[in-house]
Amino acid sequence: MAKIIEVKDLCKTYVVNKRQNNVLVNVNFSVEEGEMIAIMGPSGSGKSTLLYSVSGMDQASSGSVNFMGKDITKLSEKELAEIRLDEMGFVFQQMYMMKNLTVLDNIVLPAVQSKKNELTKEEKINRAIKLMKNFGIEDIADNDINEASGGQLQRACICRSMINNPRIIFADEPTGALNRTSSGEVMDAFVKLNNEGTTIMMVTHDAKVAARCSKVFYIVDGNIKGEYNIGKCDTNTVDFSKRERELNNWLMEMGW
Amino acid sequence: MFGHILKRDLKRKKTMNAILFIFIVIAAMFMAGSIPNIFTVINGVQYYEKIAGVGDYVVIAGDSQGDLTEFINNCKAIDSYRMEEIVLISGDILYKDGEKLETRPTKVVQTVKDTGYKYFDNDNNEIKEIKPGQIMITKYAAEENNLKIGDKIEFIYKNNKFFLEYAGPIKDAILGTPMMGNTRVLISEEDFNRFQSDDSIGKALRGKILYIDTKDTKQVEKDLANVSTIFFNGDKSIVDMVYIMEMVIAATVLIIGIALIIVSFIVLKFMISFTISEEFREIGVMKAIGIKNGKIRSLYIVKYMAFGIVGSVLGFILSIPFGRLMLDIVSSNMVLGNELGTALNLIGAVFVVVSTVGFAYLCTKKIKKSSPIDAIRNGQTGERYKKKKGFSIEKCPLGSSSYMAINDVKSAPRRYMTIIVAFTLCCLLPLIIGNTASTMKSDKLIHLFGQKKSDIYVDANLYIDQVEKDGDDIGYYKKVLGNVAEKIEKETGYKCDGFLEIQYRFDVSYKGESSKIACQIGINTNAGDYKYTEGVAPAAANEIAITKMVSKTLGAKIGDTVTIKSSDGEKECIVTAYFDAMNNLGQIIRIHEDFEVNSKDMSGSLNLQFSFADNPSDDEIDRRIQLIKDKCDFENVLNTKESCAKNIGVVDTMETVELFLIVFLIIVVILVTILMESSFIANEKSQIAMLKAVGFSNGYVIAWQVKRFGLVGLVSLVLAIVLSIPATPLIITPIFKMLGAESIDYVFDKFKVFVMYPVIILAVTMLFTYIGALKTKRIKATDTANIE
Repeated sequence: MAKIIEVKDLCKTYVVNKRQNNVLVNVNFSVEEGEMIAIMGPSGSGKSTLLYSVSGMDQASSGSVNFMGKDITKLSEKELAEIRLDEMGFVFQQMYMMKNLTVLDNIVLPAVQSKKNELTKEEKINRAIKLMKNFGIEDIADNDINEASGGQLQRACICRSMINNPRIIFADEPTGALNRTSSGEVMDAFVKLNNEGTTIMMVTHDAKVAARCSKVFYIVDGNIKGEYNIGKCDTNTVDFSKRERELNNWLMEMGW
Repeated sequence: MFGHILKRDLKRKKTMNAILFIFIVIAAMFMAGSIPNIFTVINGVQYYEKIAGVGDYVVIAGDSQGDLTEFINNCKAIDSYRMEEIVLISGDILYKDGEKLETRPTKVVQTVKDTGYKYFDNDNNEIKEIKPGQIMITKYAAEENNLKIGDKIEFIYKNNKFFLEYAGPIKDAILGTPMMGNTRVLISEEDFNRFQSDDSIGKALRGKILYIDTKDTKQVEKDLANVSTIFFNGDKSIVDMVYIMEMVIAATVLIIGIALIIVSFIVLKFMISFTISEEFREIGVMKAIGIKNGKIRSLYIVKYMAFGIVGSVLGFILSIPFGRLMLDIVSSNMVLGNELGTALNLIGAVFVVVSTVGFAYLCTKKIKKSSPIDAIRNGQTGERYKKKKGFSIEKCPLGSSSYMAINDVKSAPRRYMTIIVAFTLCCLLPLIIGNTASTMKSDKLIHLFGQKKSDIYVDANLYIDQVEKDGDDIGYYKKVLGNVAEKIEKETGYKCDGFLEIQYRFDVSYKGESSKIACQIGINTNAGDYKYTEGVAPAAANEIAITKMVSKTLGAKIGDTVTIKSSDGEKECIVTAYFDAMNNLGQIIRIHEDFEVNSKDMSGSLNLQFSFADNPSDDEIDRRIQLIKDKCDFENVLNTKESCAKNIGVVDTMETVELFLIVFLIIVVILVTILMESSFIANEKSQIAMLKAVGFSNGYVIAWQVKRFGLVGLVSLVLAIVLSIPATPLIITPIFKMLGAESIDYVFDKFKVFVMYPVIILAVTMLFTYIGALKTKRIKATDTANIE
């Protein structure tokens, strides 16, 4: 499998009240196409900062992030925005959406703006509706966003992240604000996507969520302390309890 | 505990709180500054007349035969009076650098004595004396001639010739406007005595101005019928009307004041409602932990009350210079003020505090509806399912940022309607004033000055003086017109026909009501040549047309017979028509060309009028005017538009007010735009961060914001333009009506009002939205992690 992301000596430093805070310290790892990575670690360990730095949402202090052959730490804000729009998808803990748009319009919006996406407007809308059907939320297409449940909204956010056929989806605690049922629905959606070939990288606190990923990075004090390969998750055959148990054991070894 | 919550609130929501506070300050400044101005303008003329000592009835008359002194002694209706000695001079007497000064036909020369009638300087201070060698001139005349303090003015009248130093303009309650047709000239007592003692000044030129205090103006007017040489007489209502054009301008302050109050309250209500609606989470949390509705409500009311008090104090302080600035711009010929001082400002400021608390009370009603679920589920209930129909990204042919802009406005119509109403109100003002100024500058109002439209209007006093008078007035003026037309043809080669309006002052009576009224007759014109609003033109010597104002004064209507008493005796005349006129403040009668007149009754004439034989275009007329100016030694040659503007006298001020309104509007638009945009950005921070996170550029976000405000501005402007068409006559016609003009054909300067101003306002709105939207650059994609 080809490497989609290669991170070398990535550092991120914040200066707060003249005090230097090293959030990421010489982080090195790579992600291969089709992988589903979970980043875990204690609060304040730098998980989200790592995700934002790797995705180009945040500027690294030093080091490089090679995304599909391009060092994105060298790109301008405009170039980064283009990459995020065309090649990456994002899902956040809070279901951020444009308040005045319908759910469908929210999903279609990045496609309308994308220069890479060559579909006609009608085809883009059809694709959005197809994605919504895949995630079981087609009924709320024309609803206001405040007229949908959290689980539905998060699945809508996943649809939005998928609309431009991204090479990778970054998710920051995508199930953090959801109940168990909704969380399960969202994770099923991610696994489905991953099985269809989309690379996924997510930050999570939940071992149950991480157990559905193919690889887990454990981060402590801004550095990757350990890496655990669980293997691809086939929802039809896999024994979730076993995967979760094994992952928990490893996490305990890491100091979780 | 509540204090702690409030303190945290102020710290945490700095932007929104700061914006709200600024709006309260602005509302208080506008409110506290506008209430006194409204009061001042409404009572403006009365206040000015009172402090100047105008009295209830004013008479300007000659006293060569002592009949005026007799009138004062015998009229029992006079309670008290103030009297000034004057010398009335027709023709040019003032020169600067060898060039004559532009003044009104009659100069009222006098000195300042402690008579009780007061004059004011440019800073509204009373003029108590004029130093020897100095001269002061009515303000509008000084401005027309661009006089500067220290200028050397040459005073020339027959044997008198001396240099005086210009000491400043006079604000004069009686003769202070061009409508009175007189220019007041104040000189020192020594200079006046020297001038008056000259034998060359005939007795006929000496006169008096009487400012009479009376409770019975009708009786004063009746007794005045025995005074032979009256130049002007009228009660307070006529003096009030002299200022009607100044009041049209001063009324703009009133309109601005009302508009500002409405705008500031609309925006204030919006801001309070907006900020409270954004607090659903806090409200939900407080409800979740068991705090009662009343307590939560009081928390917000206390916060807004504190904002209201501090903001209003600041607004009150700022309102004093702000109010003065607005009055100074529009009241150049008057002394405006009120007797209540800053008390009205204070009332305005207190009103803002009360309103802020009131709005907060009304807006916090929603707290009852807010539930703990709102806090827990971030405002998303997921319980109501309904389709949002109609407009969608699919159906929008424009780009996605345009779609978002349109959709925002469509999704929150009440919020944007607030801005639209505020902007529309602001834009409507300069459009109405612009339309009014365009009308005043056009040639559409010439009939209101009792004139038939002609190609050129000529002042040729020096030339007229050279024409020998050998016969009656009509014959003399026909000769003058013939000579001037001949000169024009000789010098320029263009043949033209001349005509002229002459006024006579007759005692006109109907059923016991009588009044001295100016009667106008045309030379080389027929009564049928003029515009009448009702009835038929006078067709015989015993037929007349009257204005509605005369009809009101005498009580006579079409078909009634009035008695006109001239030096030749009494004549019975039938009223056959009404017409509109603003000269002589609407107190005018048109008499038929066959009506026999006597020179003794003549009170004045308008300028000479000429129409070219070949019906030239407007451009060609202007070219010929220039040629006449170059070749003929006439004082003034004007086209119809210029003549109208000169007669109205306030066109320049109107244009200044128009400019002021546009500048003022732009400032308000900038203020509202920047503050509203800032509040929107603060509110939409999470959405903007999300857009950036998923790959939307800064340019896209800014375009969305600019297009949204641009759309609101465009809708407001279209509304303002459409509304300005009926609003202009609706607001302005009643003012003209007071002057005696009911039939106004408004002129809409399509380019200025429908293109130039809207484009400027829209461009400013979009520019400052853009500047405001630059703040969105500071919102980073990573802010998605920090937003609550």
